[in-house]
Amino acid sequence: MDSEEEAFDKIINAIPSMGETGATIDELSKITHLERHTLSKYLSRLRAEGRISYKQIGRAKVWFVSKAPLQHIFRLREEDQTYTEKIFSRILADIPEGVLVLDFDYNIMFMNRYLLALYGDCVGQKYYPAIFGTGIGMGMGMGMGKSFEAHQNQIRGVIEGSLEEIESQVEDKGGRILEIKAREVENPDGSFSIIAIIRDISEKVGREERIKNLSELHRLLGESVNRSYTIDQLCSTILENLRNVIGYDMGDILIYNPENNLLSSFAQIGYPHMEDRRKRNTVDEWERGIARAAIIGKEPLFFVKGEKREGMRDELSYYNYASELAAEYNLQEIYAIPLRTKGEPHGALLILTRHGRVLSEEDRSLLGGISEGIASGIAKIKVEEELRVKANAVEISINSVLMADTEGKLTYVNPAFLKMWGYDREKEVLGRSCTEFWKQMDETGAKDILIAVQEKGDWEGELIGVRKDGSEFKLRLSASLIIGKKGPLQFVAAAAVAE
Amino acid sequence: MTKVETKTVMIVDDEPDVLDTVAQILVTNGYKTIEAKDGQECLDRLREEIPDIILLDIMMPGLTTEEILRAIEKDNRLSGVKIIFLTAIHMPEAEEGGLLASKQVVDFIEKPFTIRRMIDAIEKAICCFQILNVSRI
Repeated sequence: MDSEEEAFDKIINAIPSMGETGATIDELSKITHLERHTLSKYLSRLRAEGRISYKQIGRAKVWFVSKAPLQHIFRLREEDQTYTEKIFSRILADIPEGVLVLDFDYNIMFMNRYLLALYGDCVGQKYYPAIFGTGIGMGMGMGMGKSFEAHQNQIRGVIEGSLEEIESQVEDKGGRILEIKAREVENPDGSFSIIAIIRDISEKVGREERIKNLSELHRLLGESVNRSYTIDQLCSTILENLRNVIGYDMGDILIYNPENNLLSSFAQIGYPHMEDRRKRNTVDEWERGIARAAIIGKEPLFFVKGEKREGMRDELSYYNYASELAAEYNLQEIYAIPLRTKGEPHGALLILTRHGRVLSEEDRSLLGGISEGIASGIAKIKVEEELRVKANAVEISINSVLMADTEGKLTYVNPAFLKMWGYDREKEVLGRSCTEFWKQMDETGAKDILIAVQEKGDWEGELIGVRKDGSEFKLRLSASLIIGKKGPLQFVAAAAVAE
Repeated sequence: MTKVETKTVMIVDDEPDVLDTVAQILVTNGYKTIEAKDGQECLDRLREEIPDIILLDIMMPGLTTEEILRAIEKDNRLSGVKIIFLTAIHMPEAEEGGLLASKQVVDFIEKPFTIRRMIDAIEKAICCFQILNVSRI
């Protein structure tokens, strides 16, 4: 070992004696009296340790002493270091960021403890293969992406002198996201290196990505609720958007119908086609069993394949359904989240992952957080659907229905009204005072009806209807005042031809 | 001829237009009314007079609906008073909030509502109330 170290020292001392350009192997052989073969072996070792480097000039290699002073400091034994060197080496070793020095041939001259922990000792290796697993000029074809290409261009820019300082965000060979700040530094001997500060920001980027995805998910959820006219449409959009954020394998939204106490699937994603109808029904039943357990329990249920569960009878029946489903689809995890708005169950969201994929704690918390938004969307569309159904009933009613504002101006009439009064289109009547369409039997003013409704809240009786062509008919009218959140809103009335 | 006893309805609503309109309509329909614009006024007025029915808005500023209900339930003089909610919130939400648990709450009217729906609810509450009184005798 000692004789090897002596030989190393002899070589390192010999190189500068040959001048600034460096020394060839022949020149070094003469000065050090080492055989060319032995010398070549030592040169390779010294280069691997980053202590020396070479430049290719024609067919010859010209060796020079490494110009990375940091490496020099770290190579010294602590007792050989000066006080300043000791302080400096300790700071660099313990700094919670990576420090890397490159020469202009992309050789790694120095890396501190932070980087050693990530990549092992790569001193003497080329920068791109060591950190990114790919050679210079490569990467795009290997799926490294545009950010890697941009980083390569930036480093080249520093070497060529067109850029003084650079900042990149780039993925390494292990899939980590690195933030790299680098600049050219002049060494004490007048040569130049690149010093780079490297941080693994994967966690930060991941967190930012989640926040971005979550806010995007909320935006898409709001958009889906606004744009969807049916619950099926809403559920499909939600599942697709959720899949972009969570990256699950299979998903299902089951909606609960309180009228018949049944749960039916309103959207599914990722399920393989199943020919056997009987089998399909059985699988559907397992899913409904899981969803029902989540709805009854009012809490999300989390099933992990192979995890034994003890509990009440209901919990065990859920566990059995989940086990069957997991076996059928080779699932790893099943997460069932009840979809409820205050007091009202709307259904359940099922998220299933195949073997090898797990939902993180963050995924589950995100799903829990978004479930209320999904439930509100479903509730809103349910109410809208119910109103549309009721509106249809009014539209097809054989009795006339009209609505008027508090001044008596018509705001709505149904088709039966138009038919009864002999009009073709709503436009002909909307905005006109309802009192134009009837008069009282005893010749008192038609406005009296409005006043009566305003005073008493409702009115029911017989009137003379006046058609578009002026002809008259006897009708029975029932009118009531509607009170809204802020006060009187409008009148609503139903009319039928009197016997 | 038997004299029909005039029933008293208390209306509690923080919206003046709702309060005035409903009160005026009830008077026209033969009821005596007491008006209160919030929970505190409701409890203050109940110390002076006992209505047959309270039309109570949920979600008013000041006292919560639970506090109003608790105060009414605690007062023995008010045990026969029937409460009808008049509110913009939906029934399931009120149910979840435990607001319908009180035995004195007999109906729940969601806004917007027709006056006919409200009068029907009042008549039904009074009718049940009377049957209850007769059976006690």
